[in-house]
Amino acid sequence: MVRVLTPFEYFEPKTVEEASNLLRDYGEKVRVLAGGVDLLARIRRREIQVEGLVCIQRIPGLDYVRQDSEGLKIGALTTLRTLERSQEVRENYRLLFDAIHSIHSIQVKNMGTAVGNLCIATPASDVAVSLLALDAQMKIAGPSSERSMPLENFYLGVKRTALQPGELVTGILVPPLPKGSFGAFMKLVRTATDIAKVNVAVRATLRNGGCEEVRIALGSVAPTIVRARKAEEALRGTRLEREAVVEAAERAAEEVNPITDIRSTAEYRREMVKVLTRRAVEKIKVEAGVKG
Amino acid sequence: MSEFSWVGKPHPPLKMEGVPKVTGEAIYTVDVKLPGMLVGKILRSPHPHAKILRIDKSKAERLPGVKAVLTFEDIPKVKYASSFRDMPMATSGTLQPPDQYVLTDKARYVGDPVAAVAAVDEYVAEEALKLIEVEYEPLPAVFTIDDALKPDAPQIHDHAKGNIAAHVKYPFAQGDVEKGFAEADCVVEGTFFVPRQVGAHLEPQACTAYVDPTGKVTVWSPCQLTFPLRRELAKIFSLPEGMINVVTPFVGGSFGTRLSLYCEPIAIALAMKTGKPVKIVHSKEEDFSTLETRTADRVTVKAGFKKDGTLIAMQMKVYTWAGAYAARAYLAGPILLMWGLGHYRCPNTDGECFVVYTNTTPAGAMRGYGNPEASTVVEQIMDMAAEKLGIDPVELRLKNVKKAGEPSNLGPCPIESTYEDECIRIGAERIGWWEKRKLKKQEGVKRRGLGMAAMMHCSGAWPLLIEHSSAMIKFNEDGSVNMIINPAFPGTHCWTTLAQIAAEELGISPEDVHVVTGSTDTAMFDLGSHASRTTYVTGNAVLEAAREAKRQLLERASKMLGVSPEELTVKDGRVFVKADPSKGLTIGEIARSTIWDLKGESFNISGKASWSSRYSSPPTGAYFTEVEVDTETGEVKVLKFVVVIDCGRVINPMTVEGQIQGGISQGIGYALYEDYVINKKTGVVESDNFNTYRIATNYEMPEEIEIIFINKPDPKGPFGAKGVGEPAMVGVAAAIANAVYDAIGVRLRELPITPEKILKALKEKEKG
Ligand SMILES: Cc1cc2nc3c(=O)[nH]c(=O)nc-3n(C[C@H](O)[C@H](O)[C@H](O)COP(=O)(O)OP(=O)(O)OC[C@H]3O[C@@H](n4cnc5c(N)ncnc54)[C@H](O)[C@@H]3O)c2cc1C
Repeated sequence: MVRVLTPFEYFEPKTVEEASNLLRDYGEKVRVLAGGVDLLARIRRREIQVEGLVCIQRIPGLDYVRQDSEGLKIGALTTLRTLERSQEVRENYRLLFDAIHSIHSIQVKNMGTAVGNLCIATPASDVAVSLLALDAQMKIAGPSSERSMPLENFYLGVKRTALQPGELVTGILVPPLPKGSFGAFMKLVRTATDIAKVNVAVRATLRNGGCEEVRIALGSVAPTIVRARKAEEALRGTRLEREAVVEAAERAAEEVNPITDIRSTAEYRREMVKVLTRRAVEKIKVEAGVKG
Repeated sequence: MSEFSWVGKPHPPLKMEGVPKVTGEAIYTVDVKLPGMLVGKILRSPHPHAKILRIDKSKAERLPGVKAVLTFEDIPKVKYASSFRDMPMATSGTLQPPDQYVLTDKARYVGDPVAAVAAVDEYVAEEALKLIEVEYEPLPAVFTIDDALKPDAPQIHDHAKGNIAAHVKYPFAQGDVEKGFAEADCVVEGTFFVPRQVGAHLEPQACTAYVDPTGKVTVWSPCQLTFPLRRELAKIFSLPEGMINVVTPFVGGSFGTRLSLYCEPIAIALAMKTGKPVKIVHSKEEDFSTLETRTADRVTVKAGFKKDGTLIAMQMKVYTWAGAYAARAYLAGPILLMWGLGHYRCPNTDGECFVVYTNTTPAGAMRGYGNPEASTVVEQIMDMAAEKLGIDPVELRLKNVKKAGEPSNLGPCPIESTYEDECIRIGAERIGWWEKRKLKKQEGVKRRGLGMAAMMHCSGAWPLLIEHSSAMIKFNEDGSVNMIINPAFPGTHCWTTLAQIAAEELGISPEDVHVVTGSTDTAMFDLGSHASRTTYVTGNAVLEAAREAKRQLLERASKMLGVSPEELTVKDGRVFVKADPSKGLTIGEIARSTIWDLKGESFNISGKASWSSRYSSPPTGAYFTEVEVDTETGEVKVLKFVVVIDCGRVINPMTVEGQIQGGISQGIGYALYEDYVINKKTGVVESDNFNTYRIATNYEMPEEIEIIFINKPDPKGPFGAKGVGEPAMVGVAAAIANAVYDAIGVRLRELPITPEKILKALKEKEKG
């Protein structure tokens, strides 16, 4: 029943180091403010209590998207809209583009950063699911050190990340995609602008008609986004024959642990993991020209 | 060439109505700011049912910046009816019993107001709420119709035994239904559940109140029924009506939700206590969990037909899921019977409705007032009957629709005009009904289906309610007029429509009609905006007032020109002799010299009129849709809508089209997405904002929408117009439900038709 923001202290560090020191000194009481799309709404709804906000918008050099030999690099202040409009993303990382493009609100994409989206640590993130299928790495800075970590290890639970006190995310690295890679992103929603009931990102690398490598990432069906490893195994080394695809889809449905909430039921979500996984692989087959 | 200058022509919103909205300058109730204004906030019960044993407000009162804290002990202990007990039911004579206190000593739903504060700002007000200590004695609570009707259910109100707020028999029953069923060749029966729906207007509920040193109360409120609101407030505070002025600024949507009274008395009580203006603005969460929703109803229908499709008997039993207070559910439930049983010609009808109290958010009116509910049920029953009889659904409806002169759906007065049959025929043709149904194959993952619904609604609620509106029109020196009227303007652009009516009669441009509105002190009585009445009822008052003003204008001109008034006419701002158009005067010349008459015979050319409608001209129509159902995911995509509407003569095609598009959107939401979720254990509304409660947006609209107007004048409407605001959504959900059945062969008896429910139903069907 409340709308106003609660009073808070406001910091505008000029460097990552300064930001990180503030985070270390104030600990749990402060939060990083990037676009503020998610954070401010939560404060208004009194879901979280903060005493201070560390706004990183004044730190130079965090708003970029570029591709080089190491892969696609995204800064902590790069908005979803910038990524959606980037030619590199659209042409070379179609899976990421498709996921971002599926978010309908232009306003949210103009304000919201990709890193902020990932740091919310909701299992429903479309961005996170597609980046998981792309083997993305999180670049993390602490008061005295930097490290990087696979996105896969970044989540500990609902709204919980592996960030240590004093740490913030500075960017994302998406490694170069091997030749013959194809991706498919799919989601089910109540209405187009809603958060996903279930989302699936599949990336497969094909060589000579065989599936050399594959990632199946699933969202909204467990406390964190998850990889369906058994399902991946069912596809790896096959020629994506229909039986293998069906088998993989069944396994994926067994691997997840969905719940019933206001958006959908556990039963439906499990069933849809099967349907979407199958459809995503079939879409890849069509795109790659794989028969059968 | 049309015989009219303005009527029937697309007209963009009047500048004064449209420009402030698109530039963001429009003042809504939430924008009202007065010097020294305080912020009011409401402490609401966290319990669905609880006695308040003790309230201690002393800590809150001591907080610096707090100007007043009120509990039930500080407020007149007068019961009121949120839907205005004085809305007289002309036919039945029943009035809603007052069952609600401004601040309560017994909470009956999660959100029931128990205390209120006024403070210097939002922060202090919020802090103060936390400092009010309330000791509750929680009582057992019931959240569903079934639980509330159990013999050992807790009693929510002392006056309502068994939690029955009302038991109403269908007042227009005919013949003998049992005999009818016995004579029928085919009987279909079904029980359906139609859900709550939220108005979901963008502007939150709000109110600002100010009491001046003489005791005069001014209230800014988005209420759709300003005069009934004033009367109810007068009763609560034992004030004469004249001591209250209700001001209605622009209204940011309402859809029926704002037919009732909400935080107005709390704001007034706080303003009385502090001597300062007090403004209360709801959060979205408060809007979703405390404003009246569309009622949910469990409806059983039985219908008997002859082999040739003639409907000969129909019976309905309705359980209306009211909330903690009877509110508008008290009327909406029983009126559902009238829409359902009165739509088609039927010699034997019978029905009853139980309105059931529960410990949930009050339910009441929303666009259509029971008709989308009735339509969802009865139009599916019609399709079930058509299948059983082996008759095309289109033919079955054509066989049973009423003709002009037969009794209307809302009672014994005759239908003034109806072209429902024409609507159905045209719609069927436009969507390709017969071809597509012949070609259809039921195979593959994605299956298409066609569905339809026929519709009859009302233009104002006569003879159920008194339908009284007034208008005043006065000429200015420049030949323009002020039109002083006061229905509320919830975004339907009826200023423009009403200005077109006045302009047509007066021979001026609609932009020369300066609308003055928005306060009970300035305008004569108007019941308000409800029941698709504004164009039909207020429009007739405007037309009468314009006729009177025109009579005076021509009389004055006749003296100035030396010809008789009968020889004169007025067009494009000029009065002239019919036989010799060169001989004439501009309206400005006439008006100016009448106001500033050097001979000492000054007066202001003006007209005023009250219109008390004694007619019912039901708008009718037909909705056709094509949908695609994904049988693996259960998703429904609405591909196309064809709406054929008979709303009499269309005054402004642009605004009517807008209403129909909006109706399709709201109907799609009702059919497929909108789900009002109340926690079964706590009674808390879980779908309490736009994130959790989904309405349809542009993305859910069908790619193809065809809107066709019959555009034939009704004998009683102004220039032949009938209502259209509510009809726009009435049959949408029913058509979708029928199309889903056509696509996949399963009928879901509960809205919203979600993918989850579809898959479950498909699985059950497979199992056999
Ligand atoms: C209406 C609406 C619709 C949406 N639809 C979708 C959708 O369909 N799919 C989807 O995936 N998402 C969706 N979102 C989520 C949206 O994409 C995110 O809210 C947004 O991207 C968050 O970014 P931000 O920069 O505003 O983060 P903020 O709100 O500023 O921060 C979010 C959280 O991350 C933390 N944080 C931010 N940056 C860092 C950092 N560099 N290091 C450490 N912690 C950090 C903050 O402290 C905070 O806890 C939707 C949101 C809304 C409001």
